[in-house]
Amino acid sequence: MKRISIFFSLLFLAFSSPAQDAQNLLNAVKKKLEAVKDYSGDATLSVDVSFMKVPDSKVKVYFRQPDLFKIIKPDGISILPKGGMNVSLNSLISGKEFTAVPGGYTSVNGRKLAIIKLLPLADNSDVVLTTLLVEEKSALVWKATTTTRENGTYESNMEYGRFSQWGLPDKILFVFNTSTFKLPKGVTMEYEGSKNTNATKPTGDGKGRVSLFYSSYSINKGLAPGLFK
Amino acid sequence: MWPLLQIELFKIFKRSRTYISFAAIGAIVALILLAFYADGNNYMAFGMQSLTQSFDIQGKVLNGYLICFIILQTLLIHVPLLIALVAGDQVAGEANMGTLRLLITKPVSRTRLLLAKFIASTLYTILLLLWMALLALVVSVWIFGTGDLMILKSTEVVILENTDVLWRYFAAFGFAAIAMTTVAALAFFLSVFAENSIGPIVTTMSVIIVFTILSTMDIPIFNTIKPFLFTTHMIGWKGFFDAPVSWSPVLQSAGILLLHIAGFLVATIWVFRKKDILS
Repeated sequence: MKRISIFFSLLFLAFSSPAQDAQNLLNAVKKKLEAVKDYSGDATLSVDVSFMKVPDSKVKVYFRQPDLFKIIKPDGISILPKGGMNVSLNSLISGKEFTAVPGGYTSVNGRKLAIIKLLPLADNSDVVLTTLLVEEKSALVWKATTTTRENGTYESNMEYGRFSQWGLPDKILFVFNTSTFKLPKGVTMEYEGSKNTNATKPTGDGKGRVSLFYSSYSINKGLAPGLFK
Repeated sequence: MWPLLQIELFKIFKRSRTYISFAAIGAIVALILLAFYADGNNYMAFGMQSLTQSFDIQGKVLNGYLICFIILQTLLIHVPLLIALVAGDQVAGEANMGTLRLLITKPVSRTRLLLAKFIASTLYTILLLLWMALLALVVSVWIFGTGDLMILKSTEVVILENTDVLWRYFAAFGFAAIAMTTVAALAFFLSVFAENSIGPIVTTMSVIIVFTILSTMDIPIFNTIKPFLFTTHMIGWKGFFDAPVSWSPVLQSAGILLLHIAGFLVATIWVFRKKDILS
């Protein structure tokens, strides 16, 4: 009897431990991210989309718990893909409930990262699946791939530095699919010279890239909800 | 030359119909500005529908620079008619009034007379464009303020930074002056053949309408002739709103238009010098 109970206990541990570890790791990540109630950041926004010509610009980035996120270019226009809130890991994870499923380990740039697949518990969540690559020691997410119902699949690659203790990256590279996007045929006359110049441009790989390089953060200083309207 | 030019300018600006063009442009720009002031945001939401389905756009898209671009896009198609009204009347109008024969009895060469008339038409054209620039750019910016300029094309979206826009408008209006002077030169050339100004005005507009249709239709058989139509090059001002500016095609278009102006002017002088003036 004793042997049987030891056998089942070991069996339970064998199957439950990785899931438990994944949940613990997710909790560690959430704890770190949820320590940031709000932030405003100064950043440089770079947009690299084959059918867009947007100059790099200085932007202000605002986040407030649980998922209020906004990028503003003072006196200018900023353009982000729909679901751009996923640029912010805080917006993606903070205050939301997930089932964490372990996915093993991988190595990125010589860094051993745990793979966690997150299944949202909310039925009406736009996010279907999120895969995180997390460094266990620091509980920092280095890569997040999110599949949504409405806006396709997004990939966020983070690089950390000065603000890693808050789980806030110095750089985010956001990759999204642009191959399905079509601009409507213009109704006005278009200049042939511009058309000929554009015809020589490479068409790209069907992916759009948005980079945010943060120069500074102001954390937990309080932000009015009206800022996000 | 200066006294001749003064006389021609006096004749142009003495006629009340000259001011119809200024009034028409003023009325159209005022209506467009009023429409944008009252319901611009809905118009923008509708115009950017395809883009906002996939992208979040933050910031003041509707600003004076964008409205000026929309006005230029709308008006520069129609301004040739207003130019032709004056340029097409330069010689034919004199013939119609019976003053042309009297005019060439004066001790002034026909070439100098025509040059004075053409320069006067060109100055009228430039004044009309300055009036348009004042209303479309200065008043729009005064009412709606400045900001980044977002242009939606059929192949791309271009966003130009606030500080990088104004010089493009100066360049665009400069280019538009060359384009509209081409129209003036064509109307002026046709004016030599007619005894009243209706003929050259209607013919100029007919040529522009037909050429514009050929330039607009994206049909392979027409694509081969497009580079040879001056109307294809008349919208070269839009090249200044590319990022970076398509300098080579824009300069090429400006060169082609200048060649047209020179060609029409030389042809006008050649025909007029040989013409037996009976009216």
